[in-house]
Amino acid sequence: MIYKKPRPPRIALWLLTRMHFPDLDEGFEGDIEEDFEERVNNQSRKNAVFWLWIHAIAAFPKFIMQITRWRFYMFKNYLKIAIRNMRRNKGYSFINITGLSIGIACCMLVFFFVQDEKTYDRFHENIDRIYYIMGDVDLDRYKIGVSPEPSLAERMRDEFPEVENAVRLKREELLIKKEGDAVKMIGISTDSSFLDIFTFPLALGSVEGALDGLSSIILTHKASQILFGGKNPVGETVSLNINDEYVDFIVSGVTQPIPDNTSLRFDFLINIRSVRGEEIENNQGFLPTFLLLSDKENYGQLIEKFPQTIDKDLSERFKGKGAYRLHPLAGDHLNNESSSIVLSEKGNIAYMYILLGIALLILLTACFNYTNLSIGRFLNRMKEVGMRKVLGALRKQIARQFLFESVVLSVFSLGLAFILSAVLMPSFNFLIGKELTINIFDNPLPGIFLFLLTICVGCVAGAYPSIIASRSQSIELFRERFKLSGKNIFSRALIVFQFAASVFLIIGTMFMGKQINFMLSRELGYESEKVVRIPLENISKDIKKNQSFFANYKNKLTGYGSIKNVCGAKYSLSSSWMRWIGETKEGDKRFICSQNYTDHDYIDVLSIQMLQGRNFSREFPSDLTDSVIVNEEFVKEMGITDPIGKNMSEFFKEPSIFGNFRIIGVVKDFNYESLSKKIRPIVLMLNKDESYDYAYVKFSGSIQEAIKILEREYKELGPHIPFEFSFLDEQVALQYRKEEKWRRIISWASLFAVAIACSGLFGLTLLVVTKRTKEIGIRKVLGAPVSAIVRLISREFIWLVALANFIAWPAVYYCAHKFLQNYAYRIPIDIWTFMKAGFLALAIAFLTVSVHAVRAGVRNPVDVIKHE
Amino acid sequence: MKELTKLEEVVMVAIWRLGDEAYGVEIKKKVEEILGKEYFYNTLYTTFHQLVQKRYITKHFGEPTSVRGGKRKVYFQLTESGMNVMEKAFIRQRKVWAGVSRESFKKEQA
Repeated sequence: MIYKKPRPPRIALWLLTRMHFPDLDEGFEGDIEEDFEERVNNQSRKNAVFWLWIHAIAAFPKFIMQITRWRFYMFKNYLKIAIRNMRRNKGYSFINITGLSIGIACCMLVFFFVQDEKTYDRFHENIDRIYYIMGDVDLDRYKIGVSPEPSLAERMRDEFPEVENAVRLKREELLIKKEGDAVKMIGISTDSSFLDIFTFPLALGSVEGALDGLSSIILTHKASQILFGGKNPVGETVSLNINDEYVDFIVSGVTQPIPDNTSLRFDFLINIRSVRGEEIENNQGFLPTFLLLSDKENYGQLIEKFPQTIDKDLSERFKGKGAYRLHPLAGDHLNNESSSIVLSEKGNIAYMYILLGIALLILLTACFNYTNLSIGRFLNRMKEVGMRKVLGALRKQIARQFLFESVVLSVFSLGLAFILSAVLMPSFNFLIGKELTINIFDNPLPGIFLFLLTICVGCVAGAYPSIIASRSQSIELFRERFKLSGKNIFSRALIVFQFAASVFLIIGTMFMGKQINFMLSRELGYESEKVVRIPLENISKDIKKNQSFFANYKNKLTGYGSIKNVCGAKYSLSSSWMRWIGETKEGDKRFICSQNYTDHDYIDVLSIQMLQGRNFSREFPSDLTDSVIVNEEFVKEMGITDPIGKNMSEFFKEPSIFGNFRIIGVVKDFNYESLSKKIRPIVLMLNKDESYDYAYVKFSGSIQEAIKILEREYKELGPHIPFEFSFLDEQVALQYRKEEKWRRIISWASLFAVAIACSGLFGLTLLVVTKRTKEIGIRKVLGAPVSAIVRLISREFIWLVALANFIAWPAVYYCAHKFLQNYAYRIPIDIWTFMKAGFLALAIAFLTVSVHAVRAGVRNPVDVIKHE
Repeated sequence: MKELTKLEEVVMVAIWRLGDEAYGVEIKKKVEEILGKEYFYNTLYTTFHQLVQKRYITKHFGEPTSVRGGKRKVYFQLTESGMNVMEKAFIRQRKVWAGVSRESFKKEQA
């Protein structure tokens, strides 16, 4: 039998010996081990281990005392000195603290933003097990992503043991009314398992069977506030407009307020059979489907089963190669590769990183400010450090003191940063279009992170000054011979970096602004002035007469003198039109063209220029059934020489929706989609039943009057249906709101960066001027004019800023190039913008420096030479 | 010469009694036997350290053995001045308790 010696638990032993006197290590450790062995033999191992741990714990208090006692005394002294120094140099402290506060506040805001994006949907208890299923179908030349057919949810739940539950959901945008006017709300029609899978607890009503009834509706807290005010709505009735008819629903529950960071956005929930009964019956259409796996680990096992089972059906259904994929809901918000139509707009991970980068850039700029100013200020503290050294301070201790000082300062800035970010939060929310709040108590993570960040900032900022202070010789310190000014490359490098960052942001802002202006001022190909767009999706039919609402509305409006013309269109301008993907007759080219249904007056209302042929005309009734108008791009793409009268079937390999329609006219290219996209071939057709989703109205005279007329007629035809409108030119501008948003964020950031960099430069110049006071005085006595003094002082800084420009330019060029790649129609990257930004930076730097330089120049040399 | 604390006194007595066998484990046992309560090694080693610093005891290493995790024992020995201090303490102790016998407590109790 092998006798296995009982060994004490290693961690406890290690702790114990480390905490004790190092010189008695061996005997001490040996004794403990011997006693431990004996205890194991006499009593039990458990007892012995317990005994040892008690020893380890008992050693703690003394250990802590030992290591902290003396440090504590020293730290008290450091703190005192730090505060005295801050008081003595109010200007520097102010620059440092404001700079750091701004930097930290920027990081704080961005951190809240990032955390919000990262925690999307995390409030669901089962978030790790929720997946949605999407099919990828490969149709030879292009791929499409589809939601599964209605029956798949049930099939998944029944056939696959890995799937615990499944739910179908569809986004429904419906008019809802209690009494009086209807309001448009976004809801989700779904199965009753919805509430089991997702975590949306009910505040009122019971979860059991809340969605079972075909006429049950669950309202969100917000929707219930809008419809019922503060009253309890459970059991009350609301009506939903489903296919132009109002259907009564009974409220069965109200959810608790829903967190803002949810991908599933809705105002109400209804049973999917109450709106999509027919689709489900015939197993037609596409319903986004979510699965709850019984265990996250089962994921791999489950998808392995797909090829033999459901993938086969998918392939058959589309007569192509199909495969289902599961996408986790967790993290889906930032995953730009997957998407489901029920989920709200995705976050943009690239923008998130850009924002993070900008915040860190500002913070770093502020850190360098501190470093630079501390190095400068060190000159005034040489005697203090020398005295400490003489009295026996170790190098380590001096370094620690300087680090400690900068950490104190940064912690102080953290406090200010909290206040600052609370003040800036509303504006930041406005910029990013979110509703974030600073809530440290519910959510301690940002607080902890920021505290650690602050400590890091303190260490980074204080690192170089502490190295300088600790390595200097005390004898030099006392004689104040320590040279910093001569060739302080490090300090200069920091200034260069600060200005490079500023120039980078300034040029970035300029390019973004230019691109936006360019897009706004570009020839659109149609006139957007004095045109109103009215959405009609909700009332395709006249409620009273069951006729086309549009036709009636148009008839009424044409009676007014101030309404010049009215037209209808199926798809709105500046949004995506129906895409038709096909092959040319010869089969050599695949192409995409966009198609829209319009009425006869579309081209007139929007003042689109006709190049060839004629417009749709009521004089030719056959236009309704056999005519199309195409754009220049279409003609170019097809390589047609004489387009008028050509039959559409000549161009396509397979039969298309255009059938045997003939081309009657060609219009000049116009930007029907956003300018970030290239103009594609388009085909305009008339709609036989005159039901259009949008009306465009061209008016003359005052805006108010026109709107009044429009609303009056609208209300008359469709009471209880909210009247919405927008001006076309505003609509066009709205497309660029994302760019506008980012331009604003970056311009604010560059403002901060420039301000911080300048304050740093300001402080540094003051130091240089103070140090060279005598020199300047002597120069003046010898006859130097003020301008020469100013030149003397500013020369070296101006060179640095110029150098910063040259460093920043290639980086900006690269980023601007990347950014502009997103736009089909873009501005050229010109050298002038670079020059302008460079000149601006130089001018700002020169102004900053010359404040001190001039002051030094005009001083009376008598005072100066007397100095000391 | 500073006065000894109670624990220092007892530790020194223990070392004196153990003679050549005076190392941590044995000393601890002796001390616990005398005072009738348990002690931590932490406390005892602090005391050893202080006594070594005051030069009342010295320490020397024993041979490494296979037990004790291969660590050497550390033996303690009283020094000349250590003996003097003990003697003084002994005399003082005697003086303090002179004329007091066990019976005197019993009387008080009764």
